[in-house]
Amino acid sequence: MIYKPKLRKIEGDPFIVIEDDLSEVFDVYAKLLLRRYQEDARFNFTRD
Amino acid sequence: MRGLTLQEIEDRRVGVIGQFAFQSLLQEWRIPYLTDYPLFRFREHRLFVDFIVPGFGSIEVKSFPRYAERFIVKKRLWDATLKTPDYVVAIRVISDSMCKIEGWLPGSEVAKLPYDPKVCPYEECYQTRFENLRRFRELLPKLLACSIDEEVKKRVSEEFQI
Repeated sequence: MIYKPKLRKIEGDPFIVIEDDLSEVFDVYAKLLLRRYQEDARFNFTRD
Repeated sequence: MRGLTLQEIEDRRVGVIGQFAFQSLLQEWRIPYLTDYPLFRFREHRLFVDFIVPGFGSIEVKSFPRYAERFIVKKRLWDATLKTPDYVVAIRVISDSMCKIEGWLPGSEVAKLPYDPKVCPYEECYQTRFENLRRFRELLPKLLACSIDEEVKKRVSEEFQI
């Protein structure tokens, strides 16, 4: 297995690289979260 | 329920990517953690901070779009958090597969950042330029010490000359 570190130095700065294509996961999760926040606001759920 | 705007989805998406990226780093370095899943509604399932790393502390990841130049936190949202996180890590999301760690601050210092109405014209916020944040490299040794894998500690220490 070729080791590919997630944290890489690029021009001296630390970058995190995600090797997998998770674009669809990000899309769905972001929409689910926003809908959940809308529902919480509607039913007066709070973060505390 | 009103429809979601593209900007709302994109903003939230940036936040999700930053959190996943940091989580993947903890996984890679074999650092045990608890993470918050905001989809769980019941408070016993929630942390209300992005990560808790035993022996290290709580971590809030703040994600910013690729064009951002400043660390910005809305005062309204920050002041509503009941527990101030020990560390706040700023991540700039360059793409779906690449993020730049811009730096970090102790959670206790966020509310001391200045408010500049030119930077945040619509809502009061705490802000500073990314270059004013502390360097992530300062945080690495303490974070890496929490790894449960001695090989990983050795390898990463060598890579980053810790």
